[in-house]
Amino acid sequence: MIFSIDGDDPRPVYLQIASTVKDGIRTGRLKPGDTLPSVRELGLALSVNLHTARHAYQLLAQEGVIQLRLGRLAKVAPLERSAAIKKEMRERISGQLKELVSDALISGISPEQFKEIVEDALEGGLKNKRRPIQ
Amino acid sequence: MKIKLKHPWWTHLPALCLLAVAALFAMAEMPAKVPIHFGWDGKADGWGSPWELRLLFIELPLLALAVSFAIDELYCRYERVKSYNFHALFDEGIIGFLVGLEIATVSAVSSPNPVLKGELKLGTGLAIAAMAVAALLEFLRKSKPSPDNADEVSAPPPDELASLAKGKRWLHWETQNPLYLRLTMIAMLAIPLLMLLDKSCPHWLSTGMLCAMVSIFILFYGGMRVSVTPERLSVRFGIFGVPLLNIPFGSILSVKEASFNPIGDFGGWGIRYSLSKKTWAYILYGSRGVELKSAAGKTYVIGSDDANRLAAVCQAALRVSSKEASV
Repeated sequence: MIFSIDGDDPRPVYLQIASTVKDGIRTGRLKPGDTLPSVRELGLALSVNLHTARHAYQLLAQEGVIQLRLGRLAKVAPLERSAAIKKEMRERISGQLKELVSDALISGISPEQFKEIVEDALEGGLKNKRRPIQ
Repeated sequence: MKIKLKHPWWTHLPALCLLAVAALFAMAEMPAKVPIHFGWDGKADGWGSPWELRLLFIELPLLALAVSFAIDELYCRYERVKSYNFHALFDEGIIGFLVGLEIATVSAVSSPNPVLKGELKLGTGLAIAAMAVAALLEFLRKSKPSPDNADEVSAPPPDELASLAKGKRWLHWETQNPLYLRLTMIAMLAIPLLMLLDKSCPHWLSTGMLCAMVSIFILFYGGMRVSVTPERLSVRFGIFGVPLLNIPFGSILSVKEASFNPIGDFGGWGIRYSLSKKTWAYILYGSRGVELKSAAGKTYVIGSDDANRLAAVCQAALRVSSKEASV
């Protein structure tokens, strides 16, 4: 599992770190119960502010992806999410998708083409994995 | 499920024969009260029922046999080319010695004042004879390396490795935390607690044991964490992640993927040193890892689930540090 920051990526650094962890879980490199580097280690290695690294972990913990406990290393959470988190994620994803749909429609991408894009992305996401994700 | 043994059962034949001898002697007629413990002078100082003695005669050799069976099987599971497994002589040595003690005990039990005589000579003789046969059997053993042990074809490095170019900041992170380690750590804490409950155990011993076990728990619970940055590789253990190994890439000459036989090369898993290979090993399970050679002439092996990838990452770091050194 490699954490790295891309200066050309327009996303903020904490989102890049969070998406690295999510990617690790999706591909199976990180398994539930695996520990993550400490905020301090991550910050020093990537030369980012410790608050930035902590922000990334707090975001992941809010989404139920990792578990944070005082004085312990962050741990990858089990894949089952609570109903409340599932509902929240569903709402958030559908909201983000609505934005993407408007972007697509006003820039002349047909609904069929949009579906294709979504299917390609899904297929790419399901590829390279080491174990099935429900 | 049929379990296929990699280490043939007949290499344990001398031990099995000795076990039969032990069982035979255990069935011998004994008085109602027999000595079950002898002092250093050979005089009996502990007494019990003959069944206690019979159970002792069988269970100690059985335990040695079971341990040896497991060690030999693990040795062979990780064997790539046939190599002589000296561990195969373990059970014959122990059981031979135990049977020698048993024969001496059985011949002493019927007298009212039992004294052990010649038990060390008899035991050592039996052990040496059994080990000689076992050594021959181990020599005759044919090795059938399992296909999983064959060196894997190096997979092409993933595209993310391409991004580990000079000047960029990154951190490679991997962990190993096997269940057996967690269970051992918790079981170890139970030993001093049981000693504290035992009134006859002196306080300095149980308290010392408690301190030792708690320190080991803090040092190793939580498994192994390997982190690689362009500057250094660190191996951390325990609750607080104390770095037990910290090597800057500036002092490393070469990195390569390595396969090893944990029991054959290092005598098991853990943090180990091999005298013959002059290598420090940080391995928790499996038989694959990364080998680093330092400019000071030291060699380290670090276990990994994905040795191929860890080696590629280390090589990328090594290239960056050697480039920086030459500028």
